[in-house]
Amino acid sequence: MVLGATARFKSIDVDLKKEIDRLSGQKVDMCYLCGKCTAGCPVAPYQDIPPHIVLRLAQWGSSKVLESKMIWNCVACATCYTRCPNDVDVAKVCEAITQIAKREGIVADPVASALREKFVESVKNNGRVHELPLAMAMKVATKDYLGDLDVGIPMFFQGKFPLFGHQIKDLNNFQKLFNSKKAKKEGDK
Amino acid sequence: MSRVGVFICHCGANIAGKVDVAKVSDDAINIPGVVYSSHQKYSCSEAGQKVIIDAIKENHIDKVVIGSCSPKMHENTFRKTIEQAGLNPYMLEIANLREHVSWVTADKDSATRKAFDLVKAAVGKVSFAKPLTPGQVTVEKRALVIGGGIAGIQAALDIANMGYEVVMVEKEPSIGGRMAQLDKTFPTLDCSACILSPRMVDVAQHPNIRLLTYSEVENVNGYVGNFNVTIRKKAKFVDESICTGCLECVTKCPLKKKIPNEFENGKAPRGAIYVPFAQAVPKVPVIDKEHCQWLLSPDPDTIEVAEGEKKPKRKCGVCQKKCEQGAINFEMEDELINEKFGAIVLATGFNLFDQKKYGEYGAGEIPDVITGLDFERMVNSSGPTEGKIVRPSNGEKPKKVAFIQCVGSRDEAKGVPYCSRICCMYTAKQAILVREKLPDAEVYVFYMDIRAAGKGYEEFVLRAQREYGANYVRGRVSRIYEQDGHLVLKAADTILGMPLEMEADMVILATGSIAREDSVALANTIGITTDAYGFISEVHPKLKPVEVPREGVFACGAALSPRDIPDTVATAGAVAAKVGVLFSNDILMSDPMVANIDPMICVACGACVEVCPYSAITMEEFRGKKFAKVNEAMCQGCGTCSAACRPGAAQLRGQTDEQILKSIEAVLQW
Repeated sequence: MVLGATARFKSIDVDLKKEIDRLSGQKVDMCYLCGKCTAGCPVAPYQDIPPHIVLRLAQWGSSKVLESKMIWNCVACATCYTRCPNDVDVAKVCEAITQIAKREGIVADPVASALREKFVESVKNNGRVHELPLAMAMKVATKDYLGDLDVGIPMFFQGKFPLFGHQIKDLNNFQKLFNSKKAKKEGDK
Repeated sequence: MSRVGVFICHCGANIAGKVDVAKVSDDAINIPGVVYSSHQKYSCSEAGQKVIIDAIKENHIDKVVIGSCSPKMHENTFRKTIEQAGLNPYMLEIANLREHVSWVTADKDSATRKAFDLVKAAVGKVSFAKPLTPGQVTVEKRALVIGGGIAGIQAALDIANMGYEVVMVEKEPSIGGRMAQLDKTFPTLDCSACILSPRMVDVAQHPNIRLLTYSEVENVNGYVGNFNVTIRKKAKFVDESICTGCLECVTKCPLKKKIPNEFENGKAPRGAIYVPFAQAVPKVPVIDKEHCQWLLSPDPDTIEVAEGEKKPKRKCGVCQKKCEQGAINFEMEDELINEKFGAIVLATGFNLFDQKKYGEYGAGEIPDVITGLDFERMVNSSGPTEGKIVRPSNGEKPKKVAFIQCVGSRDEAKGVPYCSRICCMYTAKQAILVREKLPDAEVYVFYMDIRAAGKGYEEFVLRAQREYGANYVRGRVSRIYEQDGHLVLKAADTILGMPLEMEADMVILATGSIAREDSVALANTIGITTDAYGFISEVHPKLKPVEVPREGVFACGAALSPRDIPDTVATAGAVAAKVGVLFSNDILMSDPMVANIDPMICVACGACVEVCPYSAITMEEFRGKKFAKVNEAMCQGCGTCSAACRPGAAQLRGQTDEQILKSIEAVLQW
């Protein structure tokens, strides 16, 4: 993602900013841009923009933030949140922005997006993740069939990719979570 | 032959880190006249002083050289020390081995050599020192306060409440100063006039305070406890003792919409006869002789006309006709008042940076680009727009307001590298006021850093951002121009690292504080110094923050450096305390290190009389012989006369020609 030569922000886009606040349950205006989130973030060095810039763009309500890869690759470790002087949960902000981005059809990192989807699918079906089908689904989704095999095969022989998955005890009850009114409402959006 | 004792101080590692103190001390014993030499860690400590006292007594030392820090720091300390040992306190010479050697010399060997040279010079000089006795002067327990802003008001009230008489001199027609121009104050948002006006009235009504408005200090002579001050009381052309303050004259002046009112920062008019603002103290109008038609028209008595022709009359004179009290007196003239004071307080305040120096922000030509002070007047209910925030270009409510901080602050290219300390806070306050009065307006604040170091200040700025929704953008605006009835700001968001362009309806420049344009002239009148920017220099920024280099003169508030109201009031209180300490003495000891002219050598050439900057030398005559004589109470010990005196009759005590020559000789010989 490139921020662009000149940001012709005429004004702050209050609507986008409010939507990010609503979905994340955070107030992005609480951030005073000290950069401590970026300083501690384990994935930030490998991203297009660091977390504090995600927040700055969110403060402007700039749709540029939807194009960021950072929001997809946040691993929700919450190091940022733990150390934030203003108690802003940056992980939640990133998550909220991915929701909006997906709705708008902007997926800056399809692999991360696919993993997220397949992971949730797997959990929905079994109550926990079943690694082998998830890995295979990712292979199909990304059409990268041979990558990671050097890691995957030894893991298989060490039993990290069991052939038969386990289901949790009260699966039906668990699946109600996905069918609740609130979940459906958000899903529809 | 004198018996000199040499004491070298390590000053911890300050001197000993660069100078081989043991070597200097060992070598010093070989200097002729030195009978004792030693070195120690901290000479100024109690233990260190005891070592000196004991050594003086044991070795019958009668003159002392101490190699230590600057005499500015500890000369007085060590004078007291040797006095305790029974010596005259002036039998002391300090070799400055810290500021003049260890702090400024990188090489250890040369530092040690230089230190020894300075010690030699000091020994040479002190060998010819003579015992001196300070004189005594009385203290005139009256204070002069120059400036009637919040600093002067606070200082005057505090001094007056101690029971001392105060004269307050204010240049403008009313006291109140900058604070009277402000609308609300940070961080509490209380109304400036509401907290200031009662104090202004207190000043006017205080039995110990005499108020001289529309007056300026012309000349200051004398010395601590006994200043002779000349004050010019400018003609107001209105008799204060008769005027009732009805202001009928003001409303009738035909020029009342013609002259820009300085109090309104020129954004609202006043007449030629005017009071600057409604709550003015004293509420007596003055006539501005630069504009008054009566005063500008020629005097009929001086005009010669042909016989039979009518002499032209003076123009206008409406105010005089309307005044039922007959208080208008066009014959009034400036009055010079001479008074004696024991202490002088400078509370002369500050000016604001001129936005015209920022061509990139329109140089004051774009009507919708205004300064923070303009905004203060605009948002004030008694200001030019009666408190309505409107675009000066069309009188409409702005939908988008941008603030630019650091205009005339932290800008080396514009000659103002310092931080003005008030702009971050007043911008946050003004951003809040915009959002309060115009809830639909967007507010953007362009800043470099937010400096909110004060009680409740950081919280206040965060409130402006979070509660009032002021959008802060880090980055300095490069340019403002007009386009399609809007202003366009070329700016940057340095957090994003991107340039940005933004439209706005109105821009408020947070102009910084600068020294008053007449501060240097005033400092020269009083005989004190200013810093590179024209602010008054204090003696020590930390330990003597309100004292200035002329004893008996004190300064407070923004005359010293940019500061806000709390700091101004605090320093004003500090000044009052210092004046109180001075006035608690009935008699002061005067410095004996002043000039003395030997009448037997003096040839009465008068060179010294001419060069003396303090007018302390006069020509006397005794039994037909003329000679120059120094008024020791007025002499400041500068030594100019001594340098000018050809026969060498004028000598500065403690710095005689003999002493100086001997110290040079000592460096060269031994």
